[in-house]
This record gives sequence, C-alpha cells and structure tokens, in this order.
Amino acid sequence: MKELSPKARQLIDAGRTATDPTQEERERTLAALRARLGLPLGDGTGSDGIHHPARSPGDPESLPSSPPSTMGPRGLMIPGVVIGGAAILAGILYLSHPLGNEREAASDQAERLPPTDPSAQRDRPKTAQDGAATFQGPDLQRVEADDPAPQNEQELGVQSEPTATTRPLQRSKQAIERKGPDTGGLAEEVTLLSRATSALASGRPQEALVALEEHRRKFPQGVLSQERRSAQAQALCQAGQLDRARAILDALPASSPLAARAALACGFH
Amino acid sequence: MPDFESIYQQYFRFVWNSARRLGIGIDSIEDVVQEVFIVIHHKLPTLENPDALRSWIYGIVRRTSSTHRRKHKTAPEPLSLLGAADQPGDRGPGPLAQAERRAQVELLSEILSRMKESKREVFMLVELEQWTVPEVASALNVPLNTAYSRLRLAREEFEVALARSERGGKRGGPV
Repeated sequence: MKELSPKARQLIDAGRTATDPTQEERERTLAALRARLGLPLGDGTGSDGIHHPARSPGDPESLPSSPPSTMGPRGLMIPGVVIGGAAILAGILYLSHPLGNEREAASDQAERLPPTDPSAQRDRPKTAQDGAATFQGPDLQRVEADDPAPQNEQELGVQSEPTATTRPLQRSKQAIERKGPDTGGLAEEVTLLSRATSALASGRPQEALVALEEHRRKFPQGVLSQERRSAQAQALCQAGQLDRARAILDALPASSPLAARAALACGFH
Repeated sequence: MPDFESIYQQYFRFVWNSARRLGIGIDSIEDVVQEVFIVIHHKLPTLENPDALRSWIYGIVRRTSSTHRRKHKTAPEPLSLLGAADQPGDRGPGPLAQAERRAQVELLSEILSRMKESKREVFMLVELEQWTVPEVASALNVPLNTAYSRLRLAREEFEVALARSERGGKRGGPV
C-alpha cells in the first residue's frame, strides 16, 4: 500500500497532539469521576491524602502565570479575547438568574435542612432506620449564620450551575477561567469532595457531611455542586436520615446519573 | 487486569482525543469523557480479553459519543482538531511558529472533515493514533480487507486534497 508523502506526514504530525487535553482538564475530570464513583484517592496524593496538582513555572502543563507578549499576530488577538471574554462572562452572569430553575432552588433548600432538628425528629413518624441512626450532623444553622451571603460569583471563584440549559455557557466560562492563573477555588472544591467521598467509602458519614457542608458554604454553586448533593444524599442514607436523603435526590435532575447512583446506594429502587 | 486508576492515567488522553475526533465539541467533551470512564469502571470486571483493552475502550468511546449526540439531538460538530494549545496566550514557540502550526492543523481538519466518516475513522486511528490495521479492523468490527481498503482510499483522498490545497495556496487561496 502506498505510504503518505512527507508533506502529508508533516501535516498529520502537527495534528497528532492538537486536541490533547491540558493537565488541568485531566485533573478536573479525575476529580469529578472520583466524586461520581465514590473512589478513594490514588497516586498523586500528598501526606494529607489529598490531591495537590503540581504547578511550577517550568512545567509545560502549567497555566500561564504572566500575561503573554502583546507583540506579533498572537498578541494582537489578546484585546479581542479579553473583551470577548468579559462580554461572555457578563452574559453568563445576566442569564444565570432568569435561568435558575425551581429544581435547583428546591435542591438548595433540601441541602439546607437542619440535620438534627429536635422538633422535626419528634414530629416525624418513626421508621425502621431511625432505630439504627445515631448520627448527629454538623450544625448547619450555625454555620449558615456565620457565613456571609455571597456577593457575586467572581468573588466566590465559582461557576454557574451546570444545568442542561446553562451548560454551554458554563463551559465557555470555564474555558475563560481555565486560562487564568487562579485555580485555587477548583482545587479546594476537589479537596473537599475528595475528603467527603473518602469518608463515605470508609463508612464515616458524619465526617463526609462536615466536608460537604463546608463545600456548600464555600461553593454553593460550585462546579461540583451536583456531585456534592449526590454524596450528601449517600451520606445521609448511611446515617439513617432517609427522608432528607430523598429530599435531596428529588431535587436533582431525574435523568442525572448522580441521582441514580445515589438512589441505588440508598436502596430507593 | 489493570485497575481503574491505571487505565485512567494511561488512556485519558486517548479517550479525550478520540471523542474530539468523533465530533464531540469542546463544550461537551468533559461530560462525554466522564461518561466513558464511568462505563469503563462498571464494565471492567466483564472485560474478557485484557490484551484488547485499547480496542475495547475505543468501542466505548464510539458508543458513548454516538449516544451523546443522539440524546442531545446534535449532529457531529464540524471536525476541528484545534485544541487548548492553539488558543492565544498559551505556551508554545514564537507567534510565527504558532501561526504556522495552527494553519497546518486547520488544513488537516478541513481535509479530514471532507472525508467520509468510515474512511476517516480508519485513517485517524492508523495515522494519528498509529494503530495497526488489524487492530483497527477488530475495534471497528469490520473485515481486515475492508479496513485496508478504507485506509488506501483515505490516503489517496488525503494526498489529492493536500495537493489541491497547495495549488490553491499558490494562487492565493486558502492554505
């Protein structure tokens, strides 16, 4: 069979790595998978058992830490990108409010239910699980009172909720944000979710709920907020709080594989 | 049998690139890649032939990509092999070298996007991923001769398109 010409080969060589993912995309996808699958942390963990993405100035996978040169054809594109990015960001922030749906609001409400309201416990009919449940969750009312309301998404370093409607916009925003040097918010989200899923896998729902509550406080609309709700439902089930778990699951999109997985883990099917 | 974490580390790039080349856009790529690895995680215990792991994974990428497009009622996006490394402001050589590379990748995308999907898939697996033809035939579940035939036709088509593009470039057309 005839081989390709050198020119064709050169073209193919240029395209071979063109779609390669970045290190950040690799780490973010792994973090989301660990949260969705409830996997423990593997290699690349620090002494605290938490994944810390390595970044150094010489690391070819590092995000740019200084503005690129404004000289040359690439430099000429920078103002356009900045202006375009700002316009997209403004559009996202504008659209995120009218697009907020009832399900998300219900989910937020379900997450905020106090875990151990004594009156609610008294009024609620006893279930078989109640006898086995001795879990005392974190004091959500207290931490919410201590937590100032978020001023805006940029201040929080979080992104829009990935609903079906807003996902493309959110991805655009993610694409903008992943160009920036600050990935601390995402790294912290990953850390908290990883801590929660590890605790869940080890049968420590209370510890998981504390980490998840911290995530909810810091990243109410974070990239991993659906993963948080799924993990929270599973933790509540482990702790015997099935009603609260069901309320959280009901608020997740019905088609969500996260909801299906959590429901399965809770034995709701 | 390798564990899931090892598979992720070894095949993440392959899964990502394959999905992109199968027409999954940058907006959906992370979702699709996650779905692929969730399927891998669930089905790994049922894998009968660990030697065919790469073909098995590619089969999952194909089905997941197809399902994603059907579910979201989207046609495959026009093939674009431009990735994060081609965005302005990223790392890389100087602006001129970057512009040249970008032009090459755009031309490659254009030529491939005009190719019939069945030929393009064989071509990309052999030329970009450097698979052997028998491996491609097995992954795509087609007879070996069919895979060879598609590769031969795809190579011919590629060379013709490249020559046409060069002639057009000399006349002042697109590079």
